[in-house]
Amino acid sequence: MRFRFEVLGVLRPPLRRPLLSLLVAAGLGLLAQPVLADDDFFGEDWPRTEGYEEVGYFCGSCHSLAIVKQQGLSRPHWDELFDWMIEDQGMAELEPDQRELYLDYLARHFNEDHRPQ
Amino acid sequence: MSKSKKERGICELYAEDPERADYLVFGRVADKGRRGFLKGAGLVTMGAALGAAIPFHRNMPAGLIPAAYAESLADFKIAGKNGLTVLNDRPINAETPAHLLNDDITPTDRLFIRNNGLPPENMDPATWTLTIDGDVERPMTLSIDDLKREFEVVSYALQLECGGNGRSAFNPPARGNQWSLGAVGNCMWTGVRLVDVLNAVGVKPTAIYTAHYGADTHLSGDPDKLPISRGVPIEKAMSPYNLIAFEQNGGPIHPMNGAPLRLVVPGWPGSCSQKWLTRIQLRDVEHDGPKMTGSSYRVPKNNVAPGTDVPKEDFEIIHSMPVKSLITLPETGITLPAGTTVAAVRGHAWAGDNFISRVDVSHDFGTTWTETNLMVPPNPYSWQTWEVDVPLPEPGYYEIWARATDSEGNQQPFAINWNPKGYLNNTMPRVAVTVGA
Repeated sequence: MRFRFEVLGVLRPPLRRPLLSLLVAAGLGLLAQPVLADDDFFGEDWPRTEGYEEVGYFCGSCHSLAIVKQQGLSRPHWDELFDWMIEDQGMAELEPDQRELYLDYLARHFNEDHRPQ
Repeated sequence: MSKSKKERGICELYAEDPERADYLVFGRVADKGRRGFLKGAGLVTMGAALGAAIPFHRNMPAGLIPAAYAESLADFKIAGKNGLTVLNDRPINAETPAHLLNDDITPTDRLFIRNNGLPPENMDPATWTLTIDGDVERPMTLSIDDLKREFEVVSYALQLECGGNGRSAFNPPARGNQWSLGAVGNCMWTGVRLVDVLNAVGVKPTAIYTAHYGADTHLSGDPDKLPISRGVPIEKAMSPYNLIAFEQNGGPIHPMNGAPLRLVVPGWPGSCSQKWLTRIQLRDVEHDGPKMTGSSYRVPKNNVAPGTDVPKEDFEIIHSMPVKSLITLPETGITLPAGTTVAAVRGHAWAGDNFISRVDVSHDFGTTWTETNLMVPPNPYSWQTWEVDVPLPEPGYYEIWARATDSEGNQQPFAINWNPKGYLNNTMPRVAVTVGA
């Protein structure tokens, strides 16, 4: 299982949402909706700020992002949750900068003031 | 929202470079024939994502997006379940809105689902076996037919509730599935008594705890990891109302509720009632399987202020669930027609190892209370239905509150006794009712 997490760990630099393909699709009339680069692997309620792809693909490879979106945890508690996933659930150790990026994102959007929709 | 819009993002990822997308998302590497060659981690990951193994994975073209893979719960359906609110789809966790729990015996399609891992693929009752071992005189492995033949088969209405039911009301929030009120139900379970089986294998005097094992697999797909393995002290295990169950409401157990064989250990957190049961081990120590230790299914020994960080050693294992109730009629948020002066109010109450002795309701924010008509349970550990007509003397907004009292005199509190993991919220349930002007 470790292999998988390492694979996911190399998700950076983030895959760019190809503007070209959007333009092509729009040109072909395939997009009735506004062009929002809406990546619904994540769902609309996964805020598009720095790190969203890295965190989203990483967490979403093992469990639903729905469980992430329900939480309202402080940064230290997210940090503990990573420890729990690493120590108890077989997740690979995170690189320090990777961990910072993920914690920043989670604490930015899913902190104690966050309530499930 | 259209499905195509929901899937566009991952579609784009795949459109750009399907093989690279496979590699990034699933660790999947295409073989020479451009078929997705899922092996090791990639196969397990994709299987875990789908909640099932992919029997024809070698035929699955590289870059093909599994149709079931979309990060949306809106269209997620669970066969054989009806009206449940899905909190999580990997693993599946779903609860029942309170007004759909009005039946005295919860229909199979209305019982909540709390999965910790991925259900087994094979749930064939004909080949299923249960092993009882550990600190016993005569370890045994029994088929379901053996259980039916060797032991008395009994049926009881038994309440099952997730230890975290009501967690969504915690502040600060507690981590985990944000259950509202509906991770509870009272099905008719048919099986053999756990105590009869334990007596048949001969529990050694050294045995103090049970350890339960199921056939579900860890979310990571790692066969060496168990998603959950909990147990109970031997005294609880010997209760005549614990069942090794093979029928739910007279029919097969729902696959997500543990088919074809599960424990039902009523009155304690649902996690004691191992689903897809394969083994019960008797131990001479407190069981230390996954979700027995740390802060799982534990609360602080002493009450703490909301938000307190509690050291691991200050937690204790939850035993009996506390006194609770649910209002199933009327549905909260309902508007009754102008001229309505009375509402029929109905619900259930239960109290872990205890009985319910009375249930009172208020329609004026707790100022006055009316005792309800409380039914006798069909057997111990069944929830008890109560009902009463409540006056609604004039138009306006009402809240109907219920407050159960158990046989030990414990009452439901108004406020949550906060604990870090969000267990045991037994506050009084409230429904909102408006009478039109």
